[in-house]
Amino acid sequence: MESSSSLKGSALGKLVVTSGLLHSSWSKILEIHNPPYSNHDPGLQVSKKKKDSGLEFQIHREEKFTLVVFSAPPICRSSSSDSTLLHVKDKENPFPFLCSENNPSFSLHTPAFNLFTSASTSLTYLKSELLQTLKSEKPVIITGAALGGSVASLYTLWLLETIEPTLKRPLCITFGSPLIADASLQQILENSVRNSCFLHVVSAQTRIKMDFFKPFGTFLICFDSGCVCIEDHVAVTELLNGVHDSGLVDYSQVLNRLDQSMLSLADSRLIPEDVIKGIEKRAEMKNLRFDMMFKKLNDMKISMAYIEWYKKTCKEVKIGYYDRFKTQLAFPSKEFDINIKNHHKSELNRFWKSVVEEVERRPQSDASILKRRFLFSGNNYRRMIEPLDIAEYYLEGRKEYRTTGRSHHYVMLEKWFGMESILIEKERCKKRDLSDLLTFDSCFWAEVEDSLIVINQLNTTVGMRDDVREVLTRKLVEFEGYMWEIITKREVSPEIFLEESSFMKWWKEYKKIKGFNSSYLTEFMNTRKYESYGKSQ
Amino acid sequence: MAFEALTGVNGDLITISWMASKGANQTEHYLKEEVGGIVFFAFPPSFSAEDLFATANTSPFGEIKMKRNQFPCMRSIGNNVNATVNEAFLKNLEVIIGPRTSFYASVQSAVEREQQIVFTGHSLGGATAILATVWYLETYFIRNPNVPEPRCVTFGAPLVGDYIFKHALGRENWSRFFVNFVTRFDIVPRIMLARKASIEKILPHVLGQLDPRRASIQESDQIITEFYTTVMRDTYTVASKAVCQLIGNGEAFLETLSSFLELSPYRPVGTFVFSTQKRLVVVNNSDAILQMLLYTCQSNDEQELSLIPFLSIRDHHGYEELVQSIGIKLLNHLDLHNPPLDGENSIGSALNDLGMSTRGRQCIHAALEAEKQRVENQKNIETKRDKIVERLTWIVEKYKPKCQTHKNGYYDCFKDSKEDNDFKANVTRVELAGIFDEVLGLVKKGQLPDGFEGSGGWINLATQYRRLIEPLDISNYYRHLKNEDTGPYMLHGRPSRYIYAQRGYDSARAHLARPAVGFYFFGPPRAGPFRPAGKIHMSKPAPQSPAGFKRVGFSFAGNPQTRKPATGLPAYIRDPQWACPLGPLIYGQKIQCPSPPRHGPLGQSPRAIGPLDTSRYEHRILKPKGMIAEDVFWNKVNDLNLGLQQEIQENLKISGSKCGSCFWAEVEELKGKPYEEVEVRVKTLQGMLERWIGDGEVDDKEIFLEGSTFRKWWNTLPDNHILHSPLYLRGRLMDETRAT
Repeated sequence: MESSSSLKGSALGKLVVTSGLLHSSWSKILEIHNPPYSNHDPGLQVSKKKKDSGLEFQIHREEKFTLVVFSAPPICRSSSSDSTLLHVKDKENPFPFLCSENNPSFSLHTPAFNLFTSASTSLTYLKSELLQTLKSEKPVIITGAALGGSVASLYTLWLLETIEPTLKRPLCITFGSPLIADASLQQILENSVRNSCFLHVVSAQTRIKMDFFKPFGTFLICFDSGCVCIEDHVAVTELLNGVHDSGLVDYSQVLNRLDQSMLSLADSRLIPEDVIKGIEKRAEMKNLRFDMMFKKLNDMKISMAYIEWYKKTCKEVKIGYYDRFKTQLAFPSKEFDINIKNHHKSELNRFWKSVVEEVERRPQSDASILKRRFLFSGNNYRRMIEPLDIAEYYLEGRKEYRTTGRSHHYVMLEKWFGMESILIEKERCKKRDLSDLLTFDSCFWAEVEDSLIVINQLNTTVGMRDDVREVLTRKLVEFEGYMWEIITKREVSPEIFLEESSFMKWWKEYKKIKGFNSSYLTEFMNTRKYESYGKSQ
Repeated sequence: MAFEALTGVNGDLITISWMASKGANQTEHYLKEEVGGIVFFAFPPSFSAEDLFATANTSPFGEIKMKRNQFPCMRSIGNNVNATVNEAFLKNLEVIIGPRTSFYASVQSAVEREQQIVFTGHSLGGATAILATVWYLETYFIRNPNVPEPRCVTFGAPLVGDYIFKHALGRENWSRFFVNFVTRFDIVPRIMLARKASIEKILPHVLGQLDPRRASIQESDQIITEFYTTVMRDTYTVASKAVCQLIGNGEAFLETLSSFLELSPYRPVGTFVFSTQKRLVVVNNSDAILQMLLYTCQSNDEQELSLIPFLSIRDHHGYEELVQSIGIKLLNHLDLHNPPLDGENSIGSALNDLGMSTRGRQCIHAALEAEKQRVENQKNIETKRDKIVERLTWIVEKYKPKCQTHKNGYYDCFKDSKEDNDFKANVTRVELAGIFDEVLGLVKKGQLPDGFEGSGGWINLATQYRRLIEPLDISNYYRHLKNEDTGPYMLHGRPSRYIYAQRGYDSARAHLARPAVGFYFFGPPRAGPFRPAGKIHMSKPAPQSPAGFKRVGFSFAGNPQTRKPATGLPAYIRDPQWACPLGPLIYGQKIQCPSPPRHGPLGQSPRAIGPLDTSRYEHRILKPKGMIAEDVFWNKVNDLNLGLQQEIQENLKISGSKCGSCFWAEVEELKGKPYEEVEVRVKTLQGMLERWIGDGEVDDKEIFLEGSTFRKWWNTLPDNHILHSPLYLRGRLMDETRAT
């Protein structure tokens, strides 16, 4: 039995062919290349030609959709494999939004890129016009043959950035066009919904050179007896890679052949078995990755509910969950505690690391959609779980967590949460009862631990040099300042004042060092004002 | 005979149907025949283009949405979308059931005599027969359990309705009433898969050729060839898209592509019988039938291929021969148990006879696999039912009573979250959300069997879930002050799993009148000392007892200790498998009951909480007319006489009063606001409350407790308001005060 991937490739191919979209596009391409003498097409709106570069485009407003056709002169052979490197920070880069955390730069096919930039003024105008069209619910097809198709692809990438997710996505159809993206861009697009906006029609006879440039989007590969449609770019590479064939393919003929094959029953196997197997394997991997993210979200909520519960039980025995976790780590007794560590915490960490990885793979704007979706749950997770990671860290006798021990995904989650959200939160904390608050700074306990270490050093080191002592004392003063700030801003959980907490331990030690030197904090602590901290005002 | 077992109709019935269909050619609207106690209604075909595409219709396939008040069942409940059908066909039905013909009276008299009806027709007459059957099912069958099952037999009929049409018939278990015969190349069953724009011009010519009253057809008619190619091309597009969706995976490109495609919405409904020279192939799976409509109309033989356009017209007249040969042909059933890919079995040779290519078989295989997957999905969900029941039981038996001892119900306890149990309840809440979201995802994507949406067990469970757990979600929402971020719960906060569950519940009530389908009680348990078991008063007959309501089902509070119904009425549980796990409820009883019973005001006399409440009685009459929860709500609001309708609608736009399980959300929204501002909403809420309590939507043991948010808020209302509030409410609030 043939696999479902093969069936899918063929069904998708048939769908594309019978839809008539290829014919609509190709006939307009023919028109722009060989303009009929008496051209009074009422749908034809713009026809601009940049004489110096030779890029030309036309808009056709059809009944069901709008067609934009690009036409470019044949590629000069010598420059056909040149590439242009673009970095996210380049001022000249029209595509900074495509860069991802993992891939801050990529290269484009130089001839296509040059044509694209040479026409930037008229293309900007075209963009605003197409956006209007898209808003009126009419979908847009952007098309071109050979180098014209490559520019069409670039243009589509550029247009996609401004299209809101609620609008219909445009479709870019190219015919026998050179590839334009390097491996980095391919990797970025692979993780983006933009990838679904490209349909590249290629004849199986053309051999496309793939040593530097890589395919993205969906490929319709046309054989003599039929066609297949594949998205898997490894398979596309395997099927098309070969010697560059300069012989021009007449796509009018290719399309006619496809039409004829439509109603015949010949189902020859167009894709070799091993290629199919590869497609299936990769599809499965991708699904797994996807499932991991979305199906697990609920399990994560369950784990968070358990940890919330854990936190509450700890509070009842007058010890914050941070310290309880720390002592239980050393001497585990209850099943609940063990479960929290071995199951819930580790599952949560694994999940959120994978979310962060996924986001870092995507181009910026796709990533921001994901970030928004996970914003609050991610922030909650960080504030709830990072203290537990800190407990583990210091229990192993290490120090300076914030600078040397912090996991990358916490840094990213904090960065995404951003300033704006914090401001809203701050506003809210001013009057509210704080008993359920999670300390804003998820590294708070690391600060406490480091400060305890400092105190310990001051107390135990015999014959400490004055300058060293001074540095350490200054650290303590800094910590005191930090403490006082988050207390006055009401950004710290009242749980830190529970009798058994590490912070209270710190306070007892610090009090001895501080002696009778009074400060805001010492007064706050000495007069037991902290007991009413966090009550609603 | 195996054929009857597979299709529900026997050879004689088919023969008579065909004879009647042929006879109907001579009539204007319909032909009625009565044979052996069965009444046959046959409809004549039409061969004019405006009977295929309604003239004023501008949609690309001549389609239109069905009206909910006329066809309340023909929709997707969860997604809340009405079915789409061909407007010309629907208009034709409307003429037939209208006052200009005697059809309505004829059907009525057959119904009164409890005779079985067969609707039938050839060609477009078959399309009318399908819609007439649906009309009959909606008008008579769901409302009266004594009405016998109809049959619908069509010969070469075009497709009539869309995926939702097919889904709704499947959900109601009505698909089995439809049998469609198709000769191999007949073009008519395929016509509706083509775009109107692509065939419009040549359609009149082709219809002329299809008309049996016209001169004979020529073998080399270029227009016919063009027509055939056009129809098949569009069929190809539709069928290929369907296969891509069946296989799934990588939908993003398909989605982008789809906005450029115009695809026929029409889908096959019921059983299809394809015939070849030697065989009959019976198929029930709509997806598989769609693929067969494409792949059986091809050939790998060049010579045959050139003849197909001609055959596609000729075969439309091949039904006489088909009917005559039913007894002598080999019979094959194409389903999950007889997969199309096993080399040399009989279904294999049947598909060979039908000219199915390897690719075609793979497509059918994919369709059957998708069906298998849907069944698997349901099984998978079924395994979670015990867990759901166990969690809900814990809430009812442990959590709620424990909270009540604190003199504020579980809603407020959960909000404070001071005890272990509150956290356990929170874990329960999240766990259940996960399960129901998973079910919801499958429902949304159509990845469950059609029947799932209508299955009483799940509607019941989802209702229990909604009533018990939604208050916790609301509590959680306001505990974390999410209303400050995202606005009121009802605006953006309400999870769709509750919205879907509510729709399921509302639609199930529409079916209460038909015990044969099964109906279920949705109330929470009524155990405890508050609700003495008692009798249902049936002293006063209602002023009028509508036809068809002789036998109705209802549920009521029985004796909590003995778990017996408290009355001596003949009652039995219809489906013990679904017995309510949560309390002493006996539900789903069928009783003989001459009229709806009366019941006293709440708390004063024993009461029925089944559909025999007068309030329910009203529902039952409203619902089959297509009343949805929203309409019922506005009706009730109008009864309250609160002032100008428009103003009130504005006021209640996002009100929690639209659903009983959102009671707490409305209380939360109202409690911070000055009375003058929200007077209408307060009055609406209290106006709804009595029925909610009666329906089991709101637990009156909870809300009147001393520490409840509701009670506290109520006490802050102006004296004048309290003085004029409904008697029962003041009574309850005062009772509890006295008691404490």
